[in-house]
Amino acid sequence: MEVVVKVEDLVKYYGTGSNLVKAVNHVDLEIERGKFTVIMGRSGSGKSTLLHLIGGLDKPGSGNVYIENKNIFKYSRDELAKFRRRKIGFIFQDYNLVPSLTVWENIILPLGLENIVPDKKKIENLLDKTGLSDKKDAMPETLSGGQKQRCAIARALVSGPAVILADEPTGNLDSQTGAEIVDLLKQSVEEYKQTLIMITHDESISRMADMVYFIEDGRVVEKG
Amino acid sequence: MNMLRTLAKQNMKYYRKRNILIGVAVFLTAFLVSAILSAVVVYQQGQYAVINAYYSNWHGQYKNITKDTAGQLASDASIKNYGIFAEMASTEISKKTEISYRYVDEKALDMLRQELSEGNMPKSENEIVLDTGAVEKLGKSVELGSKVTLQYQVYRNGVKDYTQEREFTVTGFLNNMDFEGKEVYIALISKELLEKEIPSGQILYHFLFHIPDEYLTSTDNAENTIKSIASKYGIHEDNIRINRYNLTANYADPDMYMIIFVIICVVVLAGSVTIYSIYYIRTNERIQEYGRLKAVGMTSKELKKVVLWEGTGIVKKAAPLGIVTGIVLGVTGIFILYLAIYQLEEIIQYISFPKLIVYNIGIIVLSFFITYITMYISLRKSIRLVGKITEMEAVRYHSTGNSKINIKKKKSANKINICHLAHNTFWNNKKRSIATILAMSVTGLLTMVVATVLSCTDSRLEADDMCHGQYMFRERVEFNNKDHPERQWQNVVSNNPLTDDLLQKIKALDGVEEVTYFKSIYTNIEELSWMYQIIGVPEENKSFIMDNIVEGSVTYEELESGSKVVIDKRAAKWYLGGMGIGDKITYTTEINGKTIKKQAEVAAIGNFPIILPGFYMASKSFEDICQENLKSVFSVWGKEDYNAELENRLKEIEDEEPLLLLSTWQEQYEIHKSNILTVTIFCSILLGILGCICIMNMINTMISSVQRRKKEIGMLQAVGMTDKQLFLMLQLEGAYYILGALFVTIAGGALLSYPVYRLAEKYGILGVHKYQFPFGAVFIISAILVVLQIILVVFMTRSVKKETIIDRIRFSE
Repeated sequence: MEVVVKVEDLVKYYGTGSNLVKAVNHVDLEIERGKFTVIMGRSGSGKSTLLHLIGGLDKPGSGNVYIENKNIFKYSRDELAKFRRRKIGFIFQDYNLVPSLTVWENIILPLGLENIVPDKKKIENLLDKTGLSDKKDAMPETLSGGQKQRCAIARALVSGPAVILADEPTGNLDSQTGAEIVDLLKQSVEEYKQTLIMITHDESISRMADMVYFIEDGRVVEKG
Repeated sequence: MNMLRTLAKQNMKYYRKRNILIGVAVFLTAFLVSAILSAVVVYQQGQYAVINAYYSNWHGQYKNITKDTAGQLASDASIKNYGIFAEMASTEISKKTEISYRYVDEKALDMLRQELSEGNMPKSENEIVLDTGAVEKLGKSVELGSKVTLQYQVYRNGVKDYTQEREFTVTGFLNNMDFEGKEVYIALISKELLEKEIPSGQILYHFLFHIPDEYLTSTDNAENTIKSIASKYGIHEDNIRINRYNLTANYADPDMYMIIFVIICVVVLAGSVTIYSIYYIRTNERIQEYGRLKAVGMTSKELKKVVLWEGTGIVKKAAPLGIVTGIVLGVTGIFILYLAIYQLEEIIQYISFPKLIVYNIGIIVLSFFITYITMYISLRKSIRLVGKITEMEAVRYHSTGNSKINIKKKKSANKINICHLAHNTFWNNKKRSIATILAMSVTGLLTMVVATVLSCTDSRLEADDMCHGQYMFRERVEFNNKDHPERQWQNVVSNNPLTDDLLQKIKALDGVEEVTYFKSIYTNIEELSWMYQIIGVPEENKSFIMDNIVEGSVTYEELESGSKVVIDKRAAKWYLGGMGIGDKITYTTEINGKTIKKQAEVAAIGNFPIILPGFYMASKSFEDICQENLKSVFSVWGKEDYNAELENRLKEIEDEEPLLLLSTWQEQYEIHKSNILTVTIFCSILLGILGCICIMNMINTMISSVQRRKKEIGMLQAVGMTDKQLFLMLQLEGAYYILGALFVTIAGGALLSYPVYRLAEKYGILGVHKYQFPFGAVFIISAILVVLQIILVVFMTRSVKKETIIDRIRFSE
């Protein structure tokens, strides 16, 4: 199987001396294409920092992250931004939608930044799939939590990225909506052959994953 | 209460960086208020010192009154003390220099601020006191007690009589005094001589006086008193003189207070709009924090107090610094100005330093009070907003970027790009965006108004108004001078120096491009009961009259008949009794022993140079009246504005011919330019500081816009926005504000400045008479805003880059 994400001796520390926090401490891991990978761990274990480093949102102290064999930390800021919008889709716990844009506009945002005219049919399909067809002109403020997260998922999927990084996407949702969101994500990545890396505390979600990594004090302590 | 104060103090410390902008706005407001007040006070004190040192100190003067009226006035209870003087004769030394022989009593001499440098006042008819300057001009060597023979023309029955001669004994000397560019030297003669030379019924006295303190509560009150005394004794308004210099220097002037009040109001407005705008944004950002305070039990009243104390805490720190800087710079600036103009040691004795200290203490208190009020006005809306916060609303409030977007649904754009994002950010919060633009435009609007007035004060036009051509020759016409009958117009015409030969001679001079001329006749106009000059424009120069008509219509052929006349707009308003189209004038002229009486109708009104008289006809219309040379003005048009050699040649012509007077365009241009420069510097300083206050607002708006949207920007970058795209987006967002502010400034400024221009034109302020759009000011305002925006965005993009994307996404979580 092809390795799509490779993390090599990744280190990220915060603070100094007695305040030193080893958020990511010499982590190595490999994630295969098309797999659903879950990263679990207690609060403050460093799982979110690891995910942000994989997505190039944060800078490591040392180590490398390869996505599709490209070392993302070798890129300049602008090159990394372009790489991110083409290859990585992000989903956050608190949705992070642009409040001044409609649902439709939020979804096509990564395409807009790439100067691509969106394929109307494809977006409408995406809206159908995420159950937002009747909300396409609505402002984010008028949506429920589940709808906001669906919108964030559609935005992450729109440019057909190789990797989707989801940081506790169900953390702010009730259990039923959370399950629907995970189903939606799983179906989407299966359909488009994408790799999904998700952080969660929810064991029921981890049971649906192809691979689970357990993190403690910034280290991978178990995988399975 | 202590807890609230501690909280306000701690908040100030915590938000120290953010409070710097507010502090700078408060500093500038305090600086401007105190600098204006102290500069005005020191300038006034200096002016008063100059006035009291050099200027006449009488309050009122009644001119041309009889001895009887003077006697009655002297015993009037409304007159505190008085002095009288009367003009007896004059001696013409040159075209611009004369000696005036006056009887002046000692009290009047004191009120006129003249004093003998040595000797005594003349007592007998052959005694005289001479001005040292006059002695010099006469080229005589005179000492105290020596005899001097002087020639003079006595004023009898309103006519300068033939020159006569008398030998005087010099009993004293006066210090040299110059008057309004024309040198008039005073010679004091005795009352005995005055009464001997002029029959007693014909002597016209000038009565100088002070009014009692009870009428001096204000300059207006003093003026009313002077006018009411005059009406009691039937003294015509034309013969009343009010010494406004002295009155405003020593007594309260409501007009002056009004001007200062308006300027301070403008400063307070600019300051409060800016501080309000900064505070309002800050308050919105801290709603959640205020909500938490309410949730832990703070009442609305207590919360309001905390907000007020935070604001006044900034005033307490920034205002004293601004006030001290303002006073130091205001006082220093004015003293430097005085040092450059006057002999400081001469006026310093008249400056009351204890008074200045008391005034400046007053200024400190007043400036602090005004700055405090400015802050209070700015905080009112924020305080009201804080008072309305409920615990739950506040806790629920998410500062996700744009504060509440009221739109629920809108048509989605098919394609999205950076322009779209910038557009959305601006328009989704119309109210705040527009309020910000208006706040940013305050100084721009003021600048436009001032710039319009200043741009309408073209020194070239003003000089054109005072001199038609680069050089202008006029006849020297004077009526009622027995010694110079040749200056009587009828005699000037028969011996007119403005001949065709002279015209050709001037034309042939190097540097002369063209010489045009006007003809004129002197007439008595029945409707105006006065003697006026009517200008006749020759056919080759008819465009001068036809192109300048602004109201009514007339053909040049109609003007040739002599039954139609065009009048000057300003002359009509200012000294032709509001004459208008359709009014008739009956003019009578006497020439070659013939009296010609004609009637003409005002057919049109035009804009003509103020130096020329107000009535215009075609010169052909004068042919029926007189076949003589009626040329009265030669306008010499030079190849360049100023040519020193040409001017010297023309001055030689003037010196050779006693009936010619020369004016130069350059002289008028320089005078006006220097006046405008002074006004421009003053306005620029004021607007510059006001501009700084408004720029604070712009900086705050843009920084806050990025601060508030840190998370949103982080998220946009997480989904792939590059730094270049971010820079472009912020530039476009800034461009919306800049374009909005420029639109309001230019469109609003043009709308606002036009009525101000009309007002300035109506009252002849700064010589404004032609509307000109201030393109220069628009360019400067645009350039400042655009450059500032670019710099700000560069700065903000760099500051954004300092944090990682994830730091920004986590912001406010």
